[in-house]
Amino acid sequence: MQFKFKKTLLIDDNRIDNIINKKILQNNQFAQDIEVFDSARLALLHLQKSVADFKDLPEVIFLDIKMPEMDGFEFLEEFEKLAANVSQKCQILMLSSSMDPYDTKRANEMDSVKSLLNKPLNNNILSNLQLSA
Amino acid sequence: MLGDSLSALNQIVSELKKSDLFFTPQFVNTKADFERLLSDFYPAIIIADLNFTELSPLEALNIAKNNSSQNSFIVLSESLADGYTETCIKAGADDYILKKDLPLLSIAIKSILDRKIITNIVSESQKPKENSLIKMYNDSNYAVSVMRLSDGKIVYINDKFAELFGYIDDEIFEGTSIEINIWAVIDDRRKLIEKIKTNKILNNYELKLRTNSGTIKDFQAKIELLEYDGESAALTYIIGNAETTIITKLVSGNEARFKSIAENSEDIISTHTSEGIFTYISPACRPLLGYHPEELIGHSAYEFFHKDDLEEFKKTHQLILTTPSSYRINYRIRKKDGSYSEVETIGKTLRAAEHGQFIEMLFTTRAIALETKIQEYKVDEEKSDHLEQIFDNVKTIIWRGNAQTYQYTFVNQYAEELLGYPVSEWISDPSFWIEHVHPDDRDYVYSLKSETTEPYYTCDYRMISKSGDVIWIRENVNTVSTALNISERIGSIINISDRKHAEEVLLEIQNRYQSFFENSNDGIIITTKEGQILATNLEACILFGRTETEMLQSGRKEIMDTSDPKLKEALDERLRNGKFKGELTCVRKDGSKFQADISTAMFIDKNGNEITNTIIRDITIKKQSENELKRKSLLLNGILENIPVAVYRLDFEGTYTESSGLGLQRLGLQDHELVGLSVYDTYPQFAPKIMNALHTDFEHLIASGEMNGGKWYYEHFVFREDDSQGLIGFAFDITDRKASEIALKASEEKFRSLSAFYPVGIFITDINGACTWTNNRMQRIAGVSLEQALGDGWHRNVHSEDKNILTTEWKEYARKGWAHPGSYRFIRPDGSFRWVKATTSPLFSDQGDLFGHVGTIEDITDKRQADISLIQSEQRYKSLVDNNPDGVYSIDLESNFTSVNKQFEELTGYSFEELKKIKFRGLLASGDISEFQDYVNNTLKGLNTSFQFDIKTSFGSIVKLNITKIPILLEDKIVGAYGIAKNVTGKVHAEEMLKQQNDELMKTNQELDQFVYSTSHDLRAPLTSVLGLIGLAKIEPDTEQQQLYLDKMSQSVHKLDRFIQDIINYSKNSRLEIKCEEVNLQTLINETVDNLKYIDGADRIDVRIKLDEKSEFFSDLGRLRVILSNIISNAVRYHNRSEILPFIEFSATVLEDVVYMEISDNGQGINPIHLEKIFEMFYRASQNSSGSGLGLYIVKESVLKLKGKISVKSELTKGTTFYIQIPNLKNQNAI
Repeated sequence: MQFKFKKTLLIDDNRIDNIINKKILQNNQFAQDIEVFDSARLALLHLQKSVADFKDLPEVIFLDIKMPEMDGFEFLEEFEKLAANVSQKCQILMLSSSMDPYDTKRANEMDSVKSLLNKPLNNNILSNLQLSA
Repeated sequence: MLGDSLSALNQIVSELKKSDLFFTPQFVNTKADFERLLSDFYPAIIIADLNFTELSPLEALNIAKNNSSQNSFIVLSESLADGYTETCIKAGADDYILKKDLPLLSIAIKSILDRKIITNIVSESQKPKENSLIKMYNDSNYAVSVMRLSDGKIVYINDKFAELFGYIDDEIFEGTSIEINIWAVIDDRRKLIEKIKTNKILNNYELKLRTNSGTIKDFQAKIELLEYDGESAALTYIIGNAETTIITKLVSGNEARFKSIAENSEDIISTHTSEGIFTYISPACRPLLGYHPEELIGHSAYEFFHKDDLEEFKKTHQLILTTPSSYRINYRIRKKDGSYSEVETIGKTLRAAEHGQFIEMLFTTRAIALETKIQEYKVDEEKSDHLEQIFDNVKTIIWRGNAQTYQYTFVNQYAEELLGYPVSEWISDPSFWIEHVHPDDRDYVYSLKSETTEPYYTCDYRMISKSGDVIWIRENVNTVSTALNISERIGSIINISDRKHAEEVLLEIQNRYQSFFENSNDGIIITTKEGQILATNLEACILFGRTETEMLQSGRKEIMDTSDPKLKEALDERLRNGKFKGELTCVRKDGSKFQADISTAMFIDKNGNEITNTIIRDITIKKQSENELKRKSLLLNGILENIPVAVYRLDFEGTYTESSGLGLQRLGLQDHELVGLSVYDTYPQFAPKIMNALHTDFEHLIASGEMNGGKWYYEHFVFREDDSQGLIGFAFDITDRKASEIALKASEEKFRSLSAFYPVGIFITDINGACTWTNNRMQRIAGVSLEQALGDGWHRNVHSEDKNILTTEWKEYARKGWAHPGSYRFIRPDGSFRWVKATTSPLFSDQGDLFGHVGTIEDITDKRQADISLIQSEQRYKSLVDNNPDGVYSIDLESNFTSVNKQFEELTGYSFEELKKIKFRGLLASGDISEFQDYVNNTLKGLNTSFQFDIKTSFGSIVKLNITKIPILLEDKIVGAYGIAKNVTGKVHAEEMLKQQNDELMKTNQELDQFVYSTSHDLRAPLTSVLGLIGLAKIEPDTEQQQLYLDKMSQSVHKLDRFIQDIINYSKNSRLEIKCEEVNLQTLINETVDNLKYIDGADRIDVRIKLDEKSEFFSDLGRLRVILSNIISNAVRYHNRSEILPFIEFSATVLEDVVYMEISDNGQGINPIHLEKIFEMFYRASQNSSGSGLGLYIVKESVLKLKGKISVKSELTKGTTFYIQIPNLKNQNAI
């Protein structure tokens, strides 16, 4: 089996969407290892822990915007505070179901955000992704 | 000594040596020798032997007299029989002596010398001058002119004269005094010529003269008759005029005056260093001693003393130096010719007025031979003619008189000359003497004369001359007893006015020296011989960069560059010559060096210490500003150390950062005690002005304040610091001055107002109350004359209504000796009436006996009028204030209310008494008073200000006031402010409403945007999920898996449905009116719980309902359902799954007008960080939430719609309780 990436992270509070997205990623052989978090806060803790333990970091992170407690942008703020190699290694793909122009604008302004994707993911979207391997 | 008989001459010498004469004999036996010695030896006495044949006495006499008038000629003869002696005397010989009477020679010589001395003085200074002498006047500082008497032509003027009168030589020469129109009064010329012809010399002659420019001035002149080119002429010596006097006084007057007096004095006036070195000697030394002043200056007086007098003189010298008194000493002084003259010197030390530093010794010296000799002469009838001849020529009054009655029996001609009274008057008037003694001196001289037991005494006192001048005289008196046992006194009087003047002038010189010392542009220091500094002036401090204290602690080593080799040379030179002048290197405090011109001299102070006086002039070029800066800082230090001034430093906020100085003591403060305080604390009123110096560099003001219980005034000088670090201020304590100023002003004010409005009449009565005197004012007020007022007459015009009370009361009070206050009216004869206020006070003698009364009558008519006006104006003001539709109040400087009108009380809801307690700041709605304080400060600066404030009324409402403040001025001082308060709440309210609505609209717009995006997200999210699931299901071959996808789809659709339901509820709540119907809570809860049954785990939960219904409950059932179902569904959804007995408890108390509800659970609880946000739209607290974030928002909105309240209490893992309070609409429904 040939996977595009070794490890990817899926962060979304909508559990149904997580199931769907994970399935799509698996079907497309997107990553060997797909980790799913329905809380951005827990995902962040996981990343911090990985850095501390010198574990492999995800090469791609799918990040939903609208989440309670900590939303996508709040996550990014903290994420960018991690060591430089972390933010360089992880490519962020933001997910949205509303396409709020304000969110679009903000996402485009964030350096760490590769692109903003419409939910749900599908094969088409994934195959059009311009990601560095 | 002329003669060929050596034995005869030797006999003369040995005879003269027996006397106390000091002399150097020279024998002459040829005519050539005689002529040579006359010009080389300057003989004082020539004794010619009649038997000398080679040069006859008559010829010798002629040679001698032609050579000089200075010598005296005595003929030594065998007898008078041959008549030759007589011929010699007639030819000008001064005296003769018979060889058999040789022992009398010394007496004759002495008498001649005395006479000569006087003649010399006259001939030298007062007799007509030679033409050559006039040349001396060319450079004189005094205006001199010579006028020929025969034709009145001006034949000589000096430059000064030309300058003074505005002429050039050509204009004036050979013109007569009349032609050049110099006389203001033509007749003065004739008078002057007449006078000068009889008197030869006129001292202090007053002339009114016209200058070339036509101005007429008064001059004082000394006029002498002299021979000029063989003709009589008048030499006029202008001593002074109004102009020169002023200039002289201002510039170098004292010295010039001293000199003019000293130089014209018949006495030798000299000044000396403490060692006795001549520093000045008047020209009188020439006639008296034969020396030119230049020959003496720089020499010690000791060089000229007779060796036998040295010890005595040293003692007196010491006394003169160590005591302030004058001392008189008789001693012998060597003249130029080597002979000795017996002189009397009065010496005194002049000291600086303030510090007593030695300035100089002042000596006045005169030959005393004549005076003493006169005393020694027996009254010898034979010689009296001879004597009187002498007497008439001496410049001394010689008198004889009765020792008991003081009547003169003889006075010489000089008495008339000196004092102006004819001799006959002196003798005929028995009390002439005492009547012409200066009144101030009479007692002293009279008692001295009558009490003295000494046969010989001397006294100084003043006499008044006929022209009214005060003449200081010195009188030597000798008492002689006659055969009839009647004491007679013989005395001499000499004029010592010049000497007295000289002393006064020298005192001025001494003061001038002092002021020179203090104000000199040069540094001056006074040091000991070792170099220790004893005194310094300010300039020296500046030069050396030290304060006075520091200077006094330093010495030569510190202030002089000791490595400068010139210093040692200078010190050596000073030791040798007593002085040094030259350049030396000086050292400042900071160690820097500067070249200075040093002029230093040594003198001996009163304690006999060698002291030096050094003048230092910095010759390195210095920037003025540098010196100025140093001067400032030195001044500051000096001020701090010595003057009662407070110095302080302020920062930009006006806070004291430093304070010190004696001036703080007035406030009872120590140095630095002001630090930390603000100038606004100490001078709230003047602080802005002081701070103003930050913009203006300098501020000067007088500020007053109160501290530690006293009122004080300080005069402030405030400067901005050079480096702009703040301000420096000096405060001079002028409280005392100010207090007296105020007192003075007050008393002036009082006096003025008294005289203007409250004239005071005064009357005096006897013990029975009968009037004995009234003043004019009293007469005018009462309309009675003094005569009419006497006795009981003074109240004859009292108004009949007041009269009875007054008269009965007054008599009684008067007898009892009581003060009687009263107020009554006078009706004056012209019908006008005056209101008066009267007060009487009893008069008691020293023994305490009543002897009368003094009464004052104050006309208070005008005051009463003024009072009435005042009351009227007050009433006017009051009605204006009371009827003002706006609130009017006044406050003092501390914002205390001093008055308010009714409208202001109504506006604020507080009474005046309450307002006084809370002050203005108590009214302010916002606690922040700083802005308010700014306005108050502006008002206090005298500005009318207008501003708006919210105040909180006593009813709790906020009222906006527009306040116009007007300062209240009282005698130019702001004592408070008036305020006019307009209620502008309504006006402002409308403006605010508009703004508020605008803000709400903006908010609504934003919310709307947010709402659209949130809802679109929440609507789309389940749909996208479903789409995703459909996509998966299509390609999922496993049916079991497909079934799972279908379940998920159905969950998403439920979620969407719930959300749509929420939106509907929300929209319903905001749009629908409240629908009122009866609510059955039990049913409602049951229904709600039933609807939630499908939620996972709902069946485990124990729902408890506790109702306490005291009334029927009416409310909007739909909204109530939304509220309860949302809260209860949350409680079900987020129940604690690990809890064994999860429960939800609903309890409610229904009252008549309100319903309290509580929904509590033991569920998961809410994190405190979310608790306050849970009611916000789209806020989702939990990660486990599947809700829209609208539920609790709708709950809150619905509760608010029902005019209820909702609150929540929660603890994580323990549970949550919602409290809801909504009105029971039962009664509303009934209506």
